[in-house]
Amino acid sequence: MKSLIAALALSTALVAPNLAAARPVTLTVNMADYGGPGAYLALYVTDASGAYAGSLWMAGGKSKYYKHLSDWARFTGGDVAQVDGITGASVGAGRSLSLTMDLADALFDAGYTLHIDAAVEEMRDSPNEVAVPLTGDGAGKPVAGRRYIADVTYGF
Amino acid sequence: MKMAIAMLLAGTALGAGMAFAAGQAGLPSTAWAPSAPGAGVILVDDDEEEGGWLWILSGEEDDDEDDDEDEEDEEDEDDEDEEEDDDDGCLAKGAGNPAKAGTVAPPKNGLFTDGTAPSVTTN
Repeated sequence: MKSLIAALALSTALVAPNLAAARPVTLTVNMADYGGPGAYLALYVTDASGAYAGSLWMAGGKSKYYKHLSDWARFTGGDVAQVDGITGASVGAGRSLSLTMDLADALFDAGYTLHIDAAVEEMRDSPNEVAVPLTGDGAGKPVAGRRYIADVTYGF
Repeated sequence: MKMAIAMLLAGTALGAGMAFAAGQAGLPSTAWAPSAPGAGVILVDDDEEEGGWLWILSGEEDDDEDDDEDEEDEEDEDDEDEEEDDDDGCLAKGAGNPAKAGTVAPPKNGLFTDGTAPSVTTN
């Protein structure tokens, strides 16, 4: 019984900090008027060394097009499991996508960078369309995209 | 030996006959001949479900693998349907599509609080 209680206490102690170390983050992607059909977007994070850390969202549900999100595809090998449960519709020109999610606190001010790859049918692929360092100071400051994205903003 | 020669002759005659019949019917005599200039291969797919790929010949679709510079070639399409699916010649790899948000838990990649899914809105 004592060992059970000890194990419970230990697991609680391990889990509790993780739960506390998260914050709701709202990420807004405003699309440019690029004059084409809906864009596929891969939102993912790299760590301080530039290694892939994980995906945050995939806009566009057809995996056959993911090779056009070339940086994401290279990092993940096109593994759709990376975006299971975090995939939605592609985003049309001139529209905006707003995501609210509980993100780990450890992602901020620790060298992590949010990347967005974009691709539009019959138009040029745009890997790393936006790269935004995740910092506390960067919150609320729009970062411009290169081709299909007008700007990206995150806030707490 | 005689039997083998007879079989060979019979097979040749049968093949020639079928080819002739196909020619009479206006069909190509070969099974795969994307010959006409500009003919492309388009993908017909059944939208949400993977696995039912059918490739047909058409002269009206270009391959989009070229990543060329014709990005300003706008077709003035209505993009109201954000999930519209046209057939662009991308090769199907056989991999399934990912589960949509809300149908399964997000991946445990250390970025999200476990079990919480992003909420999304588009305008």
